[in-house]
Amino acid sequence: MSGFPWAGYAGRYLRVNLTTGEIQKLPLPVRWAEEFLGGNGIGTKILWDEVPAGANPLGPENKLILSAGPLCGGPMPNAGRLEVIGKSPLTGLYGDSNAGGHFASEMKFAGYDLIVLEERAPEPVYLLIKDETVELRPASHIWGCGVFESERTLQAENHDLQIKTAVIGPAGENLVRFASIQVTFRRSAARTGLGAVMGAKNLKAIAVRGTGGIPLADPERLQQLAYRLHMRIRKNEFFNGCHQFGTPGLVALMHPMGRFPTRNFQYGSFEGFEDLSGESLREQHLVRDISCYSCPVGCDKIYAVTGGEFRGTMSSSVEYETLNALGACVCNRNLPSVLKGNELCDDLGLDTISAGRAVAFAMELNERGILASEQRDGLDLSWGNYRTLLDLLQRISRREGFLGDLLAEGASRAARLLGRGSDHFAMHVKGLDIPGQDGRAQQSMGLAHVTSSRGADHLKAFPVIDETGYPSEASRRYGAQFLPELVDPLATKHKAMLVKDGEDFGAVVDSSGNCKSGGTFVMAEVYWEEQAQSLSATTGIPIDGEKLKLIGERIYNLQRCYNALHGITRADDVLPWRFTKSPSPSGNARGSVCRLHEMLPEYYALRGWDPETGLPQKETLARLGLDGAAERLAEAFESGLAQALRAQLGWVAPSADPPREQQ
Amino acid sequence: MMLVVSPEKCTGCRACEVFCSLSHEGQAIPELSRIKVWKAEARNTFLPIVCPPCTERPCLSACPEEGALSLRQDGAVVVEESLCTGCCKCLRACELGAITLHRLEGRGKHGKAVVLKCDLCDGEPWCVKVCQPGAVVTAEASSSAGRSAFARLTELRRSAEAEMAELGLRARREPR
Repeated sequence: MSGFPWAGYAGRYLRVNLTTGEIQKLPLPVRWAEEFLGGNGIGTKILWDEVPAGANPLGPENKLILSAGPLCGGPMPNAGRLEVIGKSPLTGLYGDSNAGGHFASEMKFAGYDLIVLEERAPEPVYLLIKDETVELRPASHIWGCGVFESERTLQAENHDLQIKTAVIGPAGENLVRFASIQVTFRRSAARTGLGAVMGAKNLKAIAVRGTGGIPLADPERLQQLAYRLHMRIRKNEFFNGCHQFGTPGLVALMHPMGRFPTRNFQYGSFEGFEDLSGESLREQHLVRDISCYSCPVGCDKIYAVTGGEFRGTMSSSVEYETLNALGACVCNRNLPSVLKGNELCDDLGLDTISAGRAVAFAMELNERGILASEQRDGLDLSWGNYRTLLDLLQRISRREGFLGDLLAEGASRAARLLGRGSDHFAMHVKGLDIPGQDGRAQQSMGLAHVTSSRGADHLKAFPVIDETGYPSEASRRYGAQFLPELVDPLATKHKAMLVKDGEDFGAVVDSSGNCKSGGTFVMAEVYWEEQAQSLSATTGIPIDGEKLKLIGERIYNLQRCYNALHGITRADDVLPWRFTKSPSPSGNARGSVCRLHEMLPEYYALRGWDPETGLPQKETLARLGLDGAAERLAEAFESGLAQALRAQLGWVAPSADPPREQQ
Repeated sequence: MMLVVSPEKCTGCRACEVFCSLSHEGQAIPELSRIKVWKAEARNTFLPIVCPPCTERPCLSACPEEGALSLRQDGAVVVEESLCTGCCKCLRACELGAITLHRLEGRGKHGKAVVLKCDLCDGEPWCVKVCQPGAVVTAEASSSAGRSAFARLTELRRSAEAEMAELGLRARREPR
C-alpha cells in the first residue's frame, strides 16, 4: 500500500499534466496532511507553492485542484464535500468553491485524496478514474453539450451508473468568468468561476468510480461517535425546518429583516417574497428529498414544474441564493421561471449568484440610462422581466451579442469595460459578486463579505448565529457574556470575534470534508471539539480543538497572503457605497448602514494583521509556521510586483461613493 | 425480524452503506455493504436493495455447501465465510439480487471469493438506525406485508434494471 502513516486518507494523489498526458500517482506528503488537513487547506498550500502570483488564471500556468478531506467517504454526517481550488478568473485572486454530492467520497474510494490538473490539453479530453485505471480520453463528442447530457453520456459509455462526474457546460468552455463545475447530478462548485479554468484547460469532465475502502484509525469509536452526531443533528431544534425546506426556508425569515437583496441591493425586502418562499417551493413543486453523501438532513430536493410556460422543468439544488439571485434581486416573483433559470444554470454551467448579479447589474444600468440602446441587443431590460433573464443566461453562456459577451466577464469587470459611472452599480468585493445578504441588516455579514478570502462571500465566516438570533447556540459556543449583542444582527459588538472564529472553523470544515449546512454552522452540533474527535478517530493524528484552531488560522492566513501577493491590502476590504453610505430602506434594517469601521480594527487585531495595511504581521505568520510567507510578502511589496499586479486585476474597485445625482 | 424497504422515502445518502460496511468490514467501503442503493437521481430512481422479507428463502435451498448458508433463529440467513466457495448459486436464486459476490483475497473456503449478504446485525441493523427518512425499517417476520413488499421490490428492481439496460448500463454485478 501507500505507506502513508495516517488512516482516513487514501495516502495518494493524482497529478495530471494535460499537455503531455502524463499521469502521476504520487504519495501524499505527510506534512500537507498534518499542517493543512486536506480539502481546502491542502489546495491552498499547493496554490501558494505552485501557482505564481503573475499567473494568468486562464493560462496553462494556473492549476485546478479537486480535493477531498480526511472525513470524506467516512461515516460522519455530510462527509462528502468536494473542494475545488485554483486561481479565480473572475477575481484574479485566490479562488475556491465547494460542492456536495457524491464525488469526493467516490474519489477517496478510488484511492485518491486529490487531483491536481496542470497545463492545457491540445484537444478536449476527460479524465476517467476507475480505481487503478486513470486515463485521459477524448471528449470532442461531448464538447459543446450541456451538463446533463454530458453526465448521461459519460455514464452510458462507461456502462456504469455509479460513475460520479464533475463536468463543465458550454459556459466553462466559453470561458465565462463565473462558470461552474457541476458535480454529481446538479450540485455546483460555482463561485469564483473555476469552471472557466477547466474550460481553458480543455478538460470537459472528470469521471470517477471507486470500489475500494478507507481505512479508519478507530472504526468502533468512529462509528459510535458518528452515529451520536447523526442523531444529535436529527434531534436539533432546527432540523425540521432545514430538512423540509433546505436553504429556501430562509426567504421568509430574511424578508422582514431587510436582508433579502432586492433590485440589485436597492432594497432589502421583496414584496413578492411569499411567491419565492421555501413553503411555496415545497407545496407547489416538490418531487422528493435527496441527500448528499452520508447526510441525515437532505436539504437538497428535486423540484418539477408541471404546468404553464415552464412546464417540464426539473430543477434540483435550488438554494436560497438562487431564489434571491434569479428572483428578488432582479425583481422576479415568478417561481417557475426561477426554477427554469436554475435548471439552465446547472445545464449551461453557470454560477447562479454571479449570473443573477450580472443580469441585475444590466437591469440597473438600463434603469439609470447608462446602457445605450444599441448595447441592449434588442432586449427589454425592465426589472422583473424573467424572459429576458432566461434569454440572457443563454447568451452569457455563449458570449453572444454585446451584452452576453460583456456580462460573461462578470459585473465587476463589465463595469470597467463599460465605464460611464457603471461602477457604482457593480455590487462586489474583490471582484466577486455579493451574495444574498445585506451588511446593513446583518453587520457581521458585511464584515464577512469584506474579509472573505475569495471576495464577497457569506460562506467563509458563515455567521449564522446572529442571522435570526440564536441565543442558546451563541452562549453554548461563545459564552453568555457576549449576549445580547452577539445575537443582535444590527449590533457590531463582538462581531469581529464571530467572523474570525467562523473563518477559522470554516477553513477546518472545508479541509475536513464535511458540510457547513449540516451540523457545523447550521444545526450547530459539531464545533471544535467534536470536529477534533472525529478527525482523530478517523486519522489517528493526535489532535484537539486548540490544534485545529491553529490549522484553521494557518489556512486562512495563507489565503490572505496569496491575495496580498497581488497587492490586496486593507484598501480592498471595502463594501460598495450602497452598504456603507445609503441607509437601508427596508424592514428591521431601515435606516441602518454597515458600520465596517466599528468592526474592522478589532478584526485585524484578533487576526494579528497590521491595522494600517491589513497584511498578516511577521509574528503572526511565524506563530503559524508560515515564516516563508512573510518573506515572500515583503519581497512582493518591496519590489513593487504586488502593486503592479493589483493594477492588472481587471475589475474596477467597488465605488465608495454614490453616483453624483444621489449625493 | 426482517427489513422492509420503502424506496419512495430514500434520499440516496448512502449512510446505510457506509455504516453497514463499517460494522461488518471495519472500514468505510460501500462496495462491500450488504445493502446497496441503486440510484439515478435524474430519473428519480432510488432503490435500496437488501435481503428482502421473503419466506421461501430460495438461496438456502440453492446452496450446495453444507453449512455455508444457514437460517438463524432471528430469521436472518447468514453466510459462514469459511465454508462459502463463491459458487454463486444463492446469488442466482435470489430474485431481488440481495446477495453479491466479491473476489477478496483470503476470504471464503478457497481464499479467493465470498458472497456477502445482510445478517440483520444481530437484531439492531445499522442501516435502520442511520436511515433518517425511514426508507429501511424493521418488521416482524412473515407478516403479510412482507410478501407484498417483496413482490413490489422485485418489480421495482426489474424496471430499474430495464431502464438501465436501455441506457447501456450494466445493472447488476454478474459473476464472471
